Amino acid sequence: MSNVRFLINNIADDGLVTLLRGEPVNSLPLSYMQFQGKQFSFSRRARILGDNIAFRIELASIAYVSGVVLNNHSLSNTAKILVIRRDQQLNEIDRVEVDAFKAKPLGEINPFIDRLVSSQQDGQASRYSEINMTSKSCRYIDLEINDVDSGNQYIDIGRLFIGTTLSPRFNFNWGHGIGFNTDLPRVRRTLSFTMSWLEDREFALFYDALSKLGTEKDFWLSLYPEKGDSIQSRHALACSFNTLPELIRTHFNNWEIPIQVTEV
Amino acid sequence: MNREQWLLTPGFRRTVLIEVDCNIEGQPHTFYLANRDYCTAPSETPSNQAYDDWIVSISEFTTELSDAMYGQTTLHDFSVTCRYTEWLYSHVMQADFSNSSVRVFVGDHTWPRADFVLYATGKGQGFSPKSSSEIVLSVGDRQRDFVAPITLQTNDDDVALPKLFGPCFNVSPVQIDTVNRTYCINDGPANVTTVRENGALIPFTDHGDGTFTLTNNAKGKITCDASSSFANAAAVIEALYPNSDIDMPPLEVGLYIDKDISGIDVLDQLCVSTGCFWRPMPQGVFVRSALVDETAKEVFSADMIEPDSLTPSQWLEPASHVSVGFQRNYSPLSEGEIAGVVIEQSPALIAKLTSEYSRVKSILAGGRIIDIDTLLVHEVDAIALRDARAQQVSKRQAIYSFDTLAVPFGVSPGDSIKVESPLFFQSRVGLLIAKHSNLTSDRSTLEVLL
Repeated sequence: MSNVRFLINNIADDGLVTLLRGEPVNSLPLSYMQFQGKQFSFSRRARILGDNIAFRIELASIAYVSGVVLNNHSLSNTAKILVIRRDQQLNEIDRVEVDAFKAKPLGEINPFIDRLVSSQQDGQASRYSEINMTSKSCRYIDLEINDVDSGNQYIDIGRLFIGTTLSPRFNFNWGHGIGFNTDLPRVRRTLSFTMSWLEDREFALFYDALSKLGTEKDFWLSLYPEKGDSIQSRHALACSFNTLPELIRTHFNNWEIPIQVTEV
Repeated sequence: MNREQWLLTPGFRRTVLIEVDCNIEGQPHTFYLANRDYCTAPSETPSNQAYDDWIVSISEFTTELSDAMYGQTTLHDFSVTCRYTEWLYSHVMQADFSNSSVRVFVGDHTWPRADFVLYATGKGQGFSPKSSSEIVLSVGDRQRDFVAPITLQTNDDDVALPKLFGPCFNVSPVQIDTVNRTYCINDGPANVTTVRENGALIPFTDHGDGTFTLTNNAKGKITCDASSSFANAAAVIEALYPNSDIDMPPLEVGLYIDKDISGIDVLDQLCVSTGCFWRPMPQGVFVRSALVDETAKEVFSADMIEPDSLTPSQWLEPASHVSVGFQRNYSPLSEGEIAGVVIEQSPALIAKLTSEYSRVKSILAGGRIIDIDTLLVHEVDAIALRDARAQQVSKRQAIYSFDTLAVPFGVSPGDSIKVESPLFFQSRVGLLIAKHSNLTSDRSTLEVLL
């Protein structure tokens, strides 16, 4: 099982998004997927008319990309997402095609935990798709989405995360908590956990990411990535820190970070 | 589950959509707000419209008749608390909310926009800060549309010209030309039949355009009988509010306006005169009969009433007499002002001019006294109104309040409803006089006169 995964430095926000296939909607422009959620409305999602659409993100500069997340989208359970990474000259580097929702064979479903539905995200207020790739540098990313079964004739995407994922070698400690914040109109999840076994190299990566982030900006967090069940979908969220965590040096070669976040 | 079933079923989280019209830099703009995420589809109206999920809470929403025996309603404003966001703040700071209107819809977030119920309309009064994280939208009762005084036209000398609707008796005209002894009774055509000086008939010339000229100089108080071509209360409303859809009973009334009077006061007077209530509603202004209709619009059975919530909040004792005044649009004269010739030759006229109003009374067995002043012209209409009121107040009544589990979107104050309660009574039909709703919950408190 993969360890907890962060996508903190979201380089999609500074990119230029252009539509390759589909029809734009003026009142729900593509740029809506680049607005971070904490100060924005959850209702405002970028809308593209059509059920087979494509758009391109031109990153501000060449950057390493190992993760793409589409959050708060309208895709149906049979939708497929194709990610194409391109270099500075728009040459294709590689392509990865995934199902928008990971299917779980019937025989693997745990009836006490999993939802006996076609997707483990059915019924969730916000549905997401997470694409993880080997880290490669690129300048352009094309996203092609095919959702002919939805019948909507449009595709909504609330938030786009692109960047390098952080996944420490040792997982978080036992004793993590998940709760709910009802102060705001929409019930938002809260997560708290501690990562007690960060190495110096990982400390440096988290330090750099956190120092740029602050508490206003959102990031993507998945506690059980690639588990493929309802445990994963219940613990994956776009969130922001309640307070920026302190990095504590517990031993000469070991760091600890207590994390407390709230869904945006 | 269809819409009607949903509205009557407890336990569902209600989605409230609020549209606030305003102007930003001279251009029309609408704020679309909701208490959860909601966005319309491309084929809907409005299309591709996101309703920002910034509504934190909505104050209690009340519609109420202030008194079961009179036409007045009570002003009830409400407020909407929203999340403070930079986008909302930056737009609110530029917005002009004069002439702003607000529409409130209730439904389920899975429904198409057209299925949402228009629950209320109001007058947007702008946003104000509440805390570092919240701002409040104030919404005025739509009744405020009628707060403004009825506009009187002025002539070249800046004298306000009166308005005359229907037949009026012994009203005081406005003098518009002292040299030629010309008086005005209406800003449009009118028929002046009689002019009096201190109650005694004097000669005059009617010009038919709402003015008349005295033949001789006069020193006493000038009054006149006149009529204009407004047949009944419905025609009066049509003349004053041509774009409204107020449906008033066609009873003949006389209304004379020679000073500032608000639209609310005029509507109250017309409703009292015709035995009705009035209240602005989302779809327009309703006017309903004050009398209980035995055919109840909705039945509240025991399982729709919160257990132990049905309580009698007020007893109303039977009335001892009901008195209805009519032909009230005249200027009462004291006996000292009335000319000797009137005193000698027309004692009936003296009685009419010196009494406060013409009245019809009904003596009952109770203790309350009900006096109603009306604009009615005919005594027979006053008698009919008196008898209807007397039947209503001849026995002891109680105002009951109860919490209902379902959302009573289908009934409004002024409707007849049936309440079934094995604890107090098997079932009774009564007049709904108040409704207190929390739009985001499925509980409402109703007050009903039984």
